[in-house]
Amino acid sequence: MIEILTQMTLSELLLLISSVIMLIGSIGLFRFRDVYTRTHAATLITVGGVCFSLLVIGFSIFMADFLSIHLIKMDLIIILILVTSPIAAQAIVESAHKQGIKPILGISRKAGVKKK
Amino acid sequence: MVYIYIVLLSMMFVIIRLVKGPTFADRLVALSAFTTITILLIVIASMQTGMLLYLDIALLLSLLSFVGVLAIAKGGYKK
Repeated sequence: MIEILTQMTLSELLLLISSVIMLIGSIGLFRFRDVYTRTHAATLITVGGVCFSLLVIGFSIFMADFLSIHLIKMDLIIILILVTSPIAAQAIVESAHKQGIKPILGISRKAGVKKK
Repeated sequence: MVYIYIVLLSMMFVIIRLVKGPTFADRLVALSAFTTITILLIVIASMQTGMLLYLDIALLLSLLSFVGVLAIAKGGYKK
């Protein structure tokens, strides 16, 4: 295991970490039981997975050739995702609250515990 | 490479939530995450094939997904 880690380059290691964060977020999106907690998991996908991966790819472009138009486009994509993702999540949650979806409170992991 | 398979596996979980979401807001949350992962896949395809023109498509998709999700969230519900 350590031999694999020493043979990796740094960008491959960081991409692997970001993809594992994205997998954790998508399992949370699959297994949570409510709109509001699922929004929390989807934000983990966006920030911890996609923006981190794009940052790593942008740094590897920066190491390959110093400044190029592709690096500027990549930075523009990262800034755009980081700005627009919380606005979209807040609009979704606000309209779900306005429609009357109640959050599920209490521990109901096992079947038989009280479930509202 | 293991990285792209893990990304596709996480995309599979998002698609399952997109298909079987109980309410409309669940599907909207899953759609937002789905388009964001699609942007990452377009950028990876651009890096792998060397077609750097695909970055423009990723930029356009990030703008259009934001506008679409906001429009559906503000006025797309059935009364």
